[in-house]
Amino acid sequence: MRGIKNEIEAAGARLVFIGNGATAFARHFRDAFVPDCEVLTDPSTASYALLGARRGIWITFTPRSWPAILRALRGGFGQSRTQGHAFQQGGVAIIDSSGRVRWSYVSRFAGDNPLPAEIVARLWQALGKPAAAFGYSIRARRSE
Amino acid sequence: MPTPPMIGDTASQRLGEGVVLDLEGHEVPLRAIYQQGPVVLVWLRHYG
Repeated sequence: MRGIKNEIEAAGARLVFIGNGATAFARHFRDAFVPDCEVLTDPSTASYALLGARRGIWITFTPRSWPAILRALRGGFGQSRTQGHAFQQGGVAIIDSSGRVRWSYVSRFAGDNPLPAEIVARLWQALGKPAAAFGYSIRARRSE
Repeated sequence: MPTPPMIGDTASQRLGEGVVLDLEGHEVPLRAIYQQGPVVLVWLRHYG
């Protein structure tokens, strides 16, 4: 996700991460993985509820999550000790300056994330700019 | 009462009022995040 920070900023927006562990975990995450990004935390997970994020052991370890877990392991992104709510899922939302949700994606299971290119395309679309002109296309992954 | 879930193209919905914490533990209203301009918010599963 950090790989599209420059594209997001080129579109005139910011990239902000919200986690759900203690502030010490959030600091470690920022320093280790996204040192140039804004990181916040929400131990209460109240903002996750606003997103409509899912939570539960069965949606975390559903067989649908296995391919993503294997991809992560092969890519060297094995999970270390959980720092946060173990069965909380996340998501992505594009919010404009009035607080309007222009697009959102709620992860259905562990490893279910929108493609970074899709996020950029949705951002350009939300801002009324021609995403296609920048080489992005929008994929409908929700029908999977 | 929780805000209804936001799924897919939800141009008519607004992010509800909420508060998160910065890395120093200070409260940051969600409003303060998006009022600076459009933002891509990524809610992480966890940090581990």
